[in-house]
Amino acid sequence: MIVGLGEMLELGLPLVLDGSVLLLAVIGTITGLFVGAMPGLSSVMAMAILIPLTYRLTPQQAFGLLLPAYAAGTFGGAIGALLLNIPGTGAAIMTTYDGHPMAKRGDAGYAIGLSCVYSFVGGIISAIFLAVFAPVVAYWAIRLGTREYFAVAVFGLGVISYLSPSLIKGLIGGAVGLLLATVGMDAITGVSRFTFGYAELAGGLEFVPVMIGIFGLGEIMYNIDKGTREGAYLPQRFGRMLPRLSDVKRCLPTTIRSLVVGTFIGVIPASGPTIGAVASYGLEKRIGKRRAEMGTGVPEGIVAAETANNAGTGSAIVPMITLGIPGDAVTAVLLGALMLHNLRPGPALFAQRLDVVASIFILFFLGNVLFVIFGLLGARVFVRVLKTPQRVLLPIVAALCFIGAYATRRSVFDIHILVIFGIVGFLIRKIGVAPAPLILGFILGPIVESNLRRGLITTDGSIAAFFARPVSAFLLLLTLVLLFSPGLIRLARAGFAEVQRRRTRGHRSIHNESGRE
Amino acid sequence: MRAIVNSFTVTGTAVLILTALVAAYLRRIPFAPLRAGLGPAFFPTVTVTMLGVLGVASLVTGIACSRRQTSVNDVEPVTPRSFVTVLLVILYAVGIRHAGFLIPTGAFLFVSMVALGVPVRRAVLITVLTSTAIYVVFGLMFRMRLF
Amino acid sequence: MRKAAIIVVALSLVAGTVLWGAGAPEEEFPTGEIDVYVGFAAGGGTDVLARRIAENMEPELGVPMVIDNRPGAGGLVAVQEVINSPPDGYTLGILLGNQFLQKHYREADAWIDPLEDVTLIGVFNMDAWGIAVPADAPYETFNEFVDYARDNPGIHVGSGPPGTLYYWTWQAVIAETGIELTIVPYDGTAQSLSAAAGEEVAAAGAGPGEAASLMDGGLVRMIGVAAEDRVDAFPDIPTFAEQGFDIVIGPWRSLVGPPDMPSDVVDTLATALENAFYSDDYQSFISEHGHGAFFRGPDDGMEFYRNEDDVFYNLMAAEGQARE
Repeated sequence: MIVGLGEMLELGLPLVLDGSVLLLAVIGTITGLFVGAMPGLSSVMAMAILIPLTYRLTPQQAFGLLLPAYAAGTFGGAIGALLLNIPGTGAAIMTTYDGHPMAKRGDAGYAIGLSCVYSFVGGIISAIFLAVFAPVVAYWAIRLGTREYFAVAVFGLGVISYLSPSLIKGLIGGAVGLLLATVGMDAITGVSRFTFGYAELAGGLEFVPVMIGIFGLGEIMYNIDKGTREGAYLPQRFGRMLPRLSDVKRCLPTTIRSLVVGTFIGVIPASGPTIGAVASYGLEKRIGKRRAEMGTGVPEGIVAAETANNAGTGSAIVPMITLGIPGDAVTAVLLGALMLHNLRPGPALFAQRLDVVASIFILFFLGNVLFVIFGLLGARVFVRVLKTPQRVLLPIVAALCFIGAYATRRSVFDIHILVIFGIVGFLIRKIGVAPAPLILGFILGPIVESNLRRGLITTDGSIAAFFARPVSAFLLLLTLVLLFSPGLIRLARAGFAEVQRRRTRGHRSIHNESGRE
Repeated sequence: MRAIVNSFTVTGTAVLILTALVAAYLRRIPFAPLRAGLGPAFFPTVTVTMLGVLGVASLVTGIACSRRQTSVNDVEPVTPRSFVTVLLVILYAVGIRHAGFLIPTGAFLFVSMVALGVPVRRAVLITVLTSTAIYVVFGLMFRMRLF
Repeated sequence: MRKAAIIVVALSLVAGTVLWGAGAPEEEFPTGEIDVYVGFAAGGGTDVLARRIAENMEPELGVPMVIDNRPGAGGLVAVQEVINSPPDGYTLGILLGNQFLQKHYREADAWIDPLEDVTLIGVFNMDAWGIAVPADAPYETFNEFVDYARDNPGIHVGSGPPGTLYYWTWQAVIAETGIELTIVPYDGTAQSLSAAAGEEVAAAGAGPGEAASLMDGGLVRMIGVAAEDRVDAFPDIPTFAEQGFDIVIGPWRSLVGPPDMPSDVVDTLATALENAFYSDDYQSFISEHGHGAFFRGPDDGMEFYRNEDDVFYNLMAAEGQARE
């Protein structure tokens, strides 16, 4: 049941090459870039804003608006991460690690160019791969269940431990994040935990105000406190945006690994682009050639994060369109958009409305092309943000954080959450606790907890059963190996050296003996 | 005494206080599951135990550090500026609660820019421009109620 | 001079009040936009239904109905927002069965009482809940499923979270059949359905519309729906009643306003809702999507509310999970 690319193009292109669809795609791209780049507004938000507009459009027009916004929104998150150290979306958290140091060094333009091009690479290659193999992949992914989701999240948690320069502080951040994740109605029993009677907390702490508080407001308050003297950034070099050939060559192994990791993790429902980026960055930090320099502003870091998160967007669409199973909040909205147009996702859609399927893949492809064009064109404008004096920029970004926190649920309650976590984010910076492990713990906590407990119900309490399925066993073992890999590598090296020594000694002795003879 | 203050001891103390508070609350969460598997208190208990251990570890690290190198304090100082910043942010939130989004935003922008040393005239100009942009984008385009 | 000024001011005040009083109140409701708070994200099932019904109410009311999504706590956040609004008919909300569940569920710590705290305008939809099983499961009918569960007590079935209707529907099955099941709560219907498709659980609760994609894919089958009659869009799926079990349960959506709304405003809105419900657009929409056609006006709607209240209370009380 593998669909030919040629057939797809033949069916889809005439539908997509339509003035109104192309115009909507441009609008979607710009909205996605804007929303993604703004602290506090994410792709989910872009979808929520746009979807009511699509209710009266044709399916092609609707997806022409939504898919480019999704692709551009995921890339757009990188812009805030690079320039201000404030990731616009969860998926861009890992981009702060190398993107921001690079921007500070004066290479913000190059950082944007890198993330733009590699987001494109991730998006396009996963899209092509998945357009061709969608049904196969989807039927494989549906066999994955609770235990695999648990293993993926544990893999992500493992990354926390080698992200932070100080192991103890990194782990503390992660543990606090896990604890924050338990606020709200427990997913398995419905028991309220840490809600103090607030209905607003029953669904848990809202992600956006927590993340924007810790990353956005906390960072701003910290910078204001440090003094808004000019020159926090070196003067920007505007020369080159497109990646240098030498960097492309150097990053090739990273690119391939990130593509595989991002696509693979993206296909697993319930994980999505954020965990893909975390896993890919973590893997590079462990096995990449430049693992020691990761976090200081090397291209590999940006490539790992951005390739993987956009590869995740393509693969998240597949379970949705082939079997009607949404992997994350954004694909859930896309599923709603299909249903609205009386299109039922699933094999029937492939059999009867291949034109729709084809146009969806082509529009996703188009979205990736468009954000590269707009991203590269806009890079100079984005970089100009850094020329704004800090004392003007910081209050404006603070106000944007407030509106971002407010916008998701239009709730004043979330503004209070924002302020509380802003202060927390400010204080943890004062004592050298990094924000990323905390947020990663917060993102991964519910997945780890609910799937562990759910898994134990389905296996009647057997932990061993978590190792009985190939994918979860592989991921759990890989987590262990990566956790202990510096030690293992040292052991292996020592062992290797030992063998070498013995062998040379043996050789020599043989040689000597033979020499003697 | 001063020598013992460093980022690890401060982190450790803060974490241990948090641990104690959470542990006290934890007694309110039932430990038994609904039917099978682990109950709702299991995961918070594990996390808070981890936190407690890490808090102690951090404290021990900090004390060990302070013994080895005398008077190293790597906690960045909390300046009067910090308090002003925190206060401004809180006032902004309170303002939004009572007066909607747009007016407190303008006030916050203006006051914080002036406090940071932007000339008043420029601050007014930037405040008006930013507020208008927010109104156009969020109020008109995204249909959010800002008052 | 001063006296004259005072008299002029006083006169104009009086005149102003009289004119104001004469001109203002006679205009009929509604004169401006009506906000409808939806406690679920844009693009979800409840959002789509709410938008469709609101759109069909607009022509009759002659004013725009603006949907405002405020997701949180199974719709509770949005409903609380409505309850705290002035009862003038310009702020409405969508209330689901979840609110009755939270009211009675022992473990919930924030809830409202829909019987007291809102003004009901009408119930405009009720979906059939049903049971989906893996495609190669050894049971073909609900009867066979029940027998299978008797032979294998404690088989796993996928549900929604315990605070939602999708959990307690399984309790209704247990109460009616007396079989023993281990309920595995998933985050939502899509997740529990994919668990059934991946054979992680022996069955999952879902509406036929939600399971349709996986049915097409040959991954799940539906062995029954908990409706009075078969669902139009899925005529091959038998009801539980046909198979000899009295299980009728499903998620429904109602339009509500703040407490103590004036009766003429309620009447205007209820009439508009009823006409919107019977409009061709809405009817064809719900039948195409496998949603159930179900309508109750303000009065028989309260009867329906009270009945639901009893049903859920009894389900929870039987499990010892009801709040006293």
